[in-house]
Amino acid sequence: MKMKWWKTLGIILVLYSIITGLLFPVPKLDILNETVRNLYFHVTMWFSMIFLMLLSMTNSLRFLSGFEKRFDLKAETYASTGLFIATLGLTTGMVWAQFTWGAFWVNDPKLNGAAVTMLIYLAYFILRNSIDNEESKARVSAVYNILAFVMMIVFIGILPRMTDSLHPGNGGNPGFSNYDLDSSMRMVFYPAVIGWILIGTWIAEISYRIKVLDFNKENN
Amino acid sequence: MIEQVKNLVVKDIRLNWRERYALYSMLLYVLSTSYVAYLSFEGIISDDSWVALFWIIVLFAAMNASLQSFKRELNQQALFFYILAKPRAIILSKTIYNSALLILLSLSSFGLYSLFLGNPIHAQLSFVLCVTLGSSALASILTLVSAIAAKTNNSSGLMAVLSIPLLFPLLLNLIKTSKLCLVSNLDYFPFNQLLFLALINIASALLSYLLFPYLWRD
Repeated sequence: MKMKWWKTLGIILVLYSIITGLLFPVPKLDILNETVRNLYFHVTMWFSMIFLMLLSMTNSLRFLSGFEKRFDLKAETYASTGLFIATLGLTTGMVWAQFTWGAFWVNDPKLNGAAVTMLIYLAYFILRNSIDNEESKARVSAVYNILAFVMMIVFIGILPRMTDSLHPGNGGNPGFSNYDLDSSMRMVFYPAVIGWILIGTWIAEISYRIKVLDFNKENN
Repeated sequence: MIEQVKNLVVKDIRLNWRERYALYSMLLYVLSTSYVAYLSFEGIISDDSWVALFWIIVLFAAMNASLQSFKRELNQQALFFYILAKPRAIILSKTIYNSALLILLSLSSFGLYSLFLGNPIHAQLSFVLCVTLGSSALASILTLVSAIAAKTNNSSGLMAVLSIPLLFPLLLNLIKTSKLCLVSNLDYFPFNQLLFLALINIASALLSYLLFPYLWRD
């Protein structure tokens, strides 16, 4: 089987981030202590999710500019993979919150953003399933996908900056960028972000190929 | 284009004035929910709950009002409108009409609501401005979503599912602004919040303008 270079890179980077993320020393911060290691997993998942949603949105845009069926299929696949990664990000975040804040769920702008993002994309799949006509399904869901992405960016990008958050690095809470000036965490964090983005894209690609095979099987 | 938008808005006003029962039903909805709120809180309500309940009432009034906005255009007379008007003119006219309707509706619900539950707001002028901008933003997002929902089999059920997550940032901001108006002086002016509302208005109108033609063509 032929392996593309970026898939290998993704495996190497994620393995590197898991090993070094669990073994390397981390700065001792108040409240956070060793849980700061969750940065390598939880935050990177969200980056990966946003990247996948961006790909989904661009595929919807490409669908609307030419009405080619495969772009719609790609948009759907990226959105479902993004939702999967978002679930992982939410779970890692909730476990972390239980040990740091004392509850699985707290009222925080970033958590609201996460919840709304999941709801928006779940609504996207419900919308897809409630239209029978294939053509009109693709078009309507592409429109909703673009609208959803813009609103999601407003929600997780702009609104949390207008209010304080409990998250590290916000509202006077210690975060890695304030304290860790020797950048030892960055050495793990940035490769981990790239690694998870690559792995996410890879998962989406495999799932897209399965969908294409299914589609061809049904139509032959 | 502008001429067409104007004609379509006038047409909407005329048609809906002819079928006034829809308008009256919305007013009755606001009246009865305010009265239910009065009964369930027995007239004594904390300021925070006052704000939250007010926006929930406005949200559902808005959803009811915009649910029917495309019942003629996308179903019964679709072909007729398709020949007659540009899609962008249609969505602009609908957005303008729905915004105007919802501003009227939410200001009157502000009046009715204060009548039953009192009015704890201090910065009245800013609050009225916030209600106006907020309801036009609500209307412009809901207009596009109702166009999307009209394309599905189960439009009334999907409307809530599709729009509530999208309206979340807007609603949070509206509640926050209202709470600021609650505790501030008479001449308080929450510039940043109102700017955010205006930007949401512009962004959603722009998105509707760009995306609606794709929904329209079938």
